[in-house]
Amino acid sequence: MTARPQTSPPMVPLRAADEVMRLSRMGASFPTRLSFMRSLLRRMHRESWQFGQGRFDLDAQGFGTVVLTARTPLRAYSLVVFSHDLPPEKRTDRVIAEAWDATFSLFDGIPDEADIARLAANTPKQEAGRFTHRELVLGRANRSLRLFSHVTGRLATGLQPDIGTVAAVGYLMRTTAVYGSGKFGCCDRALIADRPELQGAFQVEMLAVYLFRWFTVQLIEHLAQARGGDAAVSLSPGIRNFLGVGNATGLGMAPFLGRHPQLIHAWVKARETALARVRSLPDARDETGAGFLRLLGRARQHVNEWRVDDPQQTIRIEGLRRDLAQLSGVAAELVDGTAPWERLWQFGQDRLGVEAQELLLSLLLEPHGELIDDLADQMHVAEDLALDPAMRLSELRRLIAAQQAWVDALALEGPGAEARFWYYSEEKLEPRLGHRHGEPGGMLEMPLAFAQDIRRLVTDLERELAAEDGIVAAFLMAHPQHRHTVRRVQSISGLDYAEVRDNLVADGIRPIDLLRFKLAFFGASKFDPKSDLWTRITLFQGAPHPDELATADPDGWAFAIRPEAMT
Amino acid sequence: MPLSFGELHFYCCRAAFGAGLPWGLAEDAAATAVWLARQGRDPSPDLAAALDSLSDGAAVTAVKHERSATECVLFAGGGNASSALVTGPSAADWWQVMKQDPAARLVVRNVDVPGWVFACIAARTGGAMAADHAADVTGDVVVTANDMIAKASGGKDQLGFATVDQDAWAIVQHHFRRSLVPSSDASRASGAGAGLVDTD
Repeated sequence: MTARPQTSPPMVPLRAADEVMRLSRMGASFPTRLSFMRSLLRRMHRESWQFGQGRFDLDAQGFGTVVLTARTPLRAYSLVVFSHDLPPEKRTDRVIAEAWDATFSLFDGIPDEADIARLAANTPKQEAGRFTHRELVLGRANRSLRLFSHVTGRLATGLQPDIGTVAAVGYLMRTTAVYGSGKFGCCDRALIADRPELQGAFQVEMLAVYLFRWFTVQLIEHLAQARGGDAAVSLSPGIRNFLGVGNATGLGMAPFLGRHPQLIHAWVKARETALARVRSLPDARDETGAGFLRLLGRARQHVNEWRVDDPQQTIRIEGLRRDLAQLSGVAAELVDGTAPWERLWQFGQDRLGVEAQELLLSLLLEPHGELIDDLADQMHVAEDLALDPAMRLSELRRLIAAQQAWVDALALEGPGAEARFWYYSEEKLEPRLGHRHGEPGGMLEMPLAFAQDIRRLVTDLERELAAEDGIVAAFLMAHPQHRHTVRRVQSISGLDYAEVRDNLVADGIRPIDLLRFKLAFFGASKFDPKSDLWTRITLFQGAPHPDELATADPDGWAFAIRPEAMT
Repeated sequence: MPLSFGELHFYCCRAAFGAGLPWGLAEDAAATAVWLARQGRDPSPDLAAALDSLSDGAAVTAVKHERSATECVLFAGGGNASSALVTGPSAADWWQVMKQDPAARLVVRNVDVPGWVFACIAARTGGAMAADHAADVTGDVVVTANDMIAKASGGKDQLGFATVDQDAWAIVQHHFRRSLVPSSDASRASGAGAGLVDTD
C-alpha cells in the first residue's frame, strides 16, 4: 500500500467543475472504491459485523417471511422480507406498480412478533403503508424471469446454472424502489446521522440492499431444495458471489441531485481529491503497480462481459473496449517510471474517450486505499441551504459572476432550450419529464432549470442594481420568484461541484446521464439503459456475502467477472 | 397521524407551491412547519389556515415595507391582509438584518395568521419566542429584541415525528395535490422512467 505523500511534489489541481459536472461526462461515470457500497463493506469487515438468520418461514413456493440481522459492535439492524405470489399481469418495475415479488423493511434492532405483524400489514403495501421511526428503509423487488426459474430448475436437479445465462442477467431479483430518510413515516436521516456505523452517504440503504441480496440466494436455494429434495445442490461459491442485486432506476433520482447541491459537491470533491492525490504520487510501489495492471486486465474482461441492448450504449462500450486495449499496450511501461499515475492519466486525456477516462479514474484509485479511503468519511454533510438577506446586491452579482459563469456558456435561447419540464405526477407521485409545448402542467414544474433561473435572476438583479445597490431582503420582496435561486447561490458559494453545469430542461436531455452519475457513486455496475429515462444496473455483483465477510477481502470484488474467467 | 419530519417538509413545501407560492417561499413554509414540529407544536392548523387564506384571496401576496433607523414595517396596503406565508419569510429576512440592534423593532400589520410570522422568524434565527406567540397571537405582529431569546443549549427540540390534526392536515393535503400534474396515457407512456412491461 502507498502512504499519503507528506512532501513534494505538490498535489496536482483537482479537475475543473466545468469538465466534471457536464452531463456527457457524468453519464460515463464508473464506481470507485469510494462508492458507498464499497465503504460499507470495508466497515463491516473492519468492525467484524455479525450476521444471522432470524425467522425463515417460507413455503415450498418461496412465499412467506424471512428476517436477516446484522449486528454491529453497537447495535443490530434487521431486514424483514415478505415474499409474495405476484400475478404476471401486475409485474412492472414502475413506481406506479402496486404488487411485487418481495417487499422489505430494514428494522432498527431485532423485531419481535408484534413488530413483524405490524410490518406484515404495511410493508407489502409500500407507499400505501405507514411506518415508524423503527423502520429505516422500505423497498421492493421483482424476480428476474430469465434467470430465476433457470437457476431453481438446475439446482433442484443437482446442477449448477449455466454461467452464460447467469452472466447475461447478473442477479436473481432486482429492486424497483428503495426508500429511506423519513419516507412514509420511516425514520428521518437526522435521527441516525450520528451513528458511527452509518457515517458516509446512503449507508443504511446500502445495508438493506446487501442483506436483500443475501436473501435472494437463500430463497433460490430453498426453492431448489423444496423441488429437488435430496437431489438439490447449493450454488457454487463463485456463482453465488457473482450474483448481485439488480435495480431498475428511473427519474426519481434526478430531482435528488438538484435538491442536494452541497451533498453532491461533497461526493465529487472527495472523488476528485482522491484522483489528485494518486496523480501526485512521484512513483509506484511494486504492489500498487502490479495491482493496477492486474485490475486493468480484470476491468477489460468485465467490459467484455458488459452487454446491453441499447444501441448508443453498445457503441460506447465497443469504444471503451478499444480504448482499454490501447491502454493495456502502454500501461506496464508507464507504471514503471517517474510520476507513473500522472503519465497514465495524461495518456488517457490525450488518447482515450470519456468512458475510458472515467474508468481509468476508477482503476487509478483502486490500489491506493491507504492513500484515499479516509475521503469516504467526507461524503456526507449536514445540509443547510441558508439565505443571507443582508447581502448587498452587488455582492450577490459578484458571487454569481464568480460561481455561475458556466451559465453564460450555455445556449439558453431558442425553442429547444426549455422544451422539457420535470414534474410530479398525481399517479403515485411518479416523477416525470414532460414536453412543455404539448403537455399540461408546465406551471407546476419542479425547480430543476437552474441555468434558466440564474439567467433570469441576473436580468432582474442588474435592473435593480442600475437604480440602487440594495440588500437581498428588499430585492426578494419585489422579486419573490427568485428566492430559491438566491438561497441556492448563496448556499453553494465556494462549492464548485454543487451544480450540474448543463441545461436540464433542454430538448434532448438524457436523464440517464444523471442516473448513472448517482448510481456510480452508489457503486452500481453493468449500466443497461432501457431508454433515455431509465436504466437497469447491478449492485454488489462479486461482493462476498455476509457469511464470508469475516475472511474475505472486502475490496477484492471491483469489476466483477464471471466465475469461469477468474484466475 | 404521525409524520416524519422529512414527510412534513415534503408535503408542506409542495402544498405551499400548490397554493400558488413561488418555490422559495414554499421552502420557507416547509422549514417553518418542521421547526414548529421540533418544538412539539402541530404546524398544520396555522398552515392550513394560511394556505386557505392565500388560495381564496382573503390575503394578498404583494407586501411593502417602510424602514427607519431602528424600525421596519411590513404591510399589504389598501386595507388588505397580507399572507403570513409571504410576510413571514420577509419578516424573518428583515429581523435577521436588524436583530443586532437592541432597539430594533419589526412590525407586520394586518397579517392573516400572525403566529406563523413569529414561527418563521424563530425558525430562521434559530431562537425561540419569549412569549407564547405562536399559539395565541392575533392581529398585528410586533417583534422586539425582548420577544426573541436565544435558544438554550439542550433545548426542547424534538426529533422523531410530528403529530398533526387530521382535519387541518386534510387541508394541507388538498393544496399538496394541486402541485401534482394529472396523469394521462401519454405522460404515463413517454414521460416516466421505466417500461410498462418489465420481464428480464
